[in-house]
Amino acid sequence: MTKATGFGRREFLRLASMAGAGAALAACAPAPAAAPTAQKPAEGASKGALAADTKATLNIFNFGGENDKKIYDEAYARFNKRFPNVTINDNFTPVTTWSEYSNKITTQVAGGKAPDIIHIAIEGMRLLVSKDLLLPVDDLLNADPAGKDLIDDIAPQLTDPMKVGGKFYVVPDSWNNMVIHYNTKLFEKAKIDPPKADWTWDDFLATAKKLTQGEGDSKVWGFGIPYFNFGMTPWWLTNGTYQLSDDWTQSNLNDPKMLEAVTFVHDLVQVHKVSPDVKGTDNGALFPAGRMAMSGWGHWPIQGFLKANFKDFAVQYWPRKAKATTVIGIGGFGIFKGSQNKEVAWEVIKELVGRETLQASADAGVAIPARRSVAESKSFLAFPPNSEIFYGCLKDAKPVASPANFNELETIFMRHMDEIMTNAVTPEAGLKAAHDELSAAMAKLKG
Amino acid sequence: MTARPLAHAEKRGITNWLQKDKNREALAGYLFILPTFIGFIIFVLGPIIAAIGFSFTSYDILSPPKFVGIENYTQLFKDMRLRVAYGNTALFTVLAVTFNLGIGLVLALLLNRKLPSFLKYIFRAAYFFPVLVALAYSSVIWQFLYQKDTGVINYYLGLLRIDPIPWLSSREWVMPSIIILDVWKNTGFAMLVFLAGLQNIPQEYYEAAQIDGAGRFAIFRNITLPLITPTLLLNLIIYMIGALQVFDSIQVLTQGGPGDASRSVTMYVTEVAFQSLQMGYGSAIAITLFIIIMILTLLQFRISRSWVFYE
Repeated sequence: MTKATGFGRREFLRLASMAGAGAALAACAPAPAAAPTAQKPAEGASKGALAADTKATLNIFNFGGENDKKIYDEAYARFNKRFPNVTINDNFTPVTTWSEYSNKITTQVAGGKAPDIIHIAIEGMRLLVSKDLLLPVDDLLNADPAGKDLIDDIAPQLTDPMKVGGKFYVVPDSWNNMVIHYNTKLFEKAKIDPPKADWTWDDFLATAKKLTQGEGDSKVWGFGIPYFNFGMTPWWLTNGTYQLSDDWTQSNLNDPKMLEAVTFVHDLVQVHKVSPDVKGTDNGALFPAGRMAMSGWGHWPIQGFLKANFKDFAVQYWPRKAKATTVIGIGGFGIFKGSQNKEVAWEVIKELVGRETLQASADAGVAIPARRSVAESKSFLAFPPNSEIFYGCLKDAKPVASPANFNELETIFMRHMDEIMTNAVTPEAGLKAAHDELSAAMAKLKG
Repeated sequence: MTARPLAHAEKRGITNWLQKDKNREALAGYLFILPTFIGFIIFVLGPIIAAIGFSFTSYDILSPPKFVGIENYTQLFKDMRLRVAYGNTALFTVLAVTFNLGIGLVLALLLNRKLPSFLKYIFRAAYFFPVLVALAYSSVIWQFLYQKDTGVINYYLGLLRIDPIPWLSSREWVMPSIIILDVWKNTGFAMLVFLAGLQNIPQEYYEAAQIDGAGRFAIFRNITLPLITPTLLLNLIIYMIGALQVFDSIQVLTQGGPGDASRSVTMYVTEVAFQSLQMGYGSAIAITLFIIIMILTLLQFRISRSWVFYE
């Protein structure tokens, strides 16, 4: 995430993991108080359309950026037009104070109020599933006449990762990926052609070297490393490797391809000098200021750039070595197993992932809408140039590895990357230490 | 049949008890401390007792805790990362307390001199201002200042032909960087407390010393310093406890990195308890820190008898 651009991927992950921990705490809390005239508890399956006079009170753990609260409130207002006797308590936490999200969840739990609906990302989902806290929504989805329209409008690359053991737990509303953002003016100034869709690591490095120019306060850096776990993942994936095995159960950090990719990233700073030191560098400020020609983000910083009146940029696929791919992270809404209002919760989720809500979200422009019909709408594709690659990358993309101990994985990896990137240890030694530590953590998870 | 007369007698007894001034005062006193006492039990004592309990369990927050005896405490001695965290915390404590109090005292002495009122207010506000600014905001500025390749400090050092300093990205420089931020942020509070202490020193002592021909240093050494030792003790204890619990200064600037080079014990506790979900082991570490802080604080009070001067 970049300070200049508001809600970012890294915050999303943090929130997701906190949501996971907070929600987990909820499991230890007493069951939520029954709604004044609560709907009769349903055991998963929807038996038919929800009656318009259904009375219920729903609690939601939710978070988002500055525009999201308004969008959600409008969604609830639409819902309440159809179901006027349903009260929705949206425990919304603005991401500008993201720690508040965790605190709110804890407070709710301490008050004995587990939520009915949780807004969570893929990184936090498996933790909840492993503790049997989330309800599979397959029955609700299949019993709903509108279910097919919903699911057909979302790419399977976004729904499949939200399944565990063949059961579908979280309905995606938005997602993000990593692509290269480049400053078109700096490319023109350096007389370099815009990067092509099939560019390689070698092309990328040659371009970054040409773009790195000047000294002192006029220095332009070729590339700003997106220095967070999700942000660097495309380097591993495009080299045909990953931090974990395909089933997310074992460390794969001893793969020679990981060493090759990590060394490449390390060398951008320490050998080729095309990237500034990663610690404390604010890519989100340097890029629109014309001090950084390229960096990596998803869709989330674009509205921030536009607000800062910076429009001289375009996006391109991540450069490839072994394969063309990138990473995706998915967010969505799930239902707590302990909810007394599962069918009402399902109706609310349908509103939250409905076209109208996602279109409003797309217009606000932070994440990529999960619905294809919205993500491919004219308004979403209007800017920046080449925006179709956001949804277009899905066919080759891989979801971010999200085992139940995702927090541990991220912490271990980034701590060792810190040492590697600052030359405190060699990439070989750093990855070996990270592999040993991660292997122990994964073994513990298997239990 | 007997309930009513007994209740009446009890009421009369309470009325009699309250008629005594001493008892009324005592009751008022207890009522005044009651909110604090309740708050202490709920927010301090309760969590401490819970942490002691958890420290003997394996507890991942999600599943019920399992009793494991002293396993968590034996793990403390094998944990190399904890040793690093304790080393960092000790170093930070020594340096942060020394510089915060030293600079705070110097600033207080400077502000305690005869200055035009408006200048006094301006200087006081200027030095105290960082205390009021949330670290979440000021850290953004400090990161901008400290950045190795694009930071403001290194830009000016470059003009002086000094090589860029890896303020945040070297094991050697990261702690000085944090100390500078911490002193900038917190020394204003020490200054304010010292200033209050200095202004409580009766002016007659200074006048008498000047009449006796004492020089500035002699006055400072023999009047000012002894008379602000209670304030010094207060600051010392507040800052030592704060430094041993340091979290935010480091979290916002380096997140404990690079690697573990600046990770404090409280940061490690947070990581273990809430990221690795080892609440039992995290509690055990927290208990050791609690005991260390308690011992050091008691020691301070004990040693203070030999150097703190009360009028």
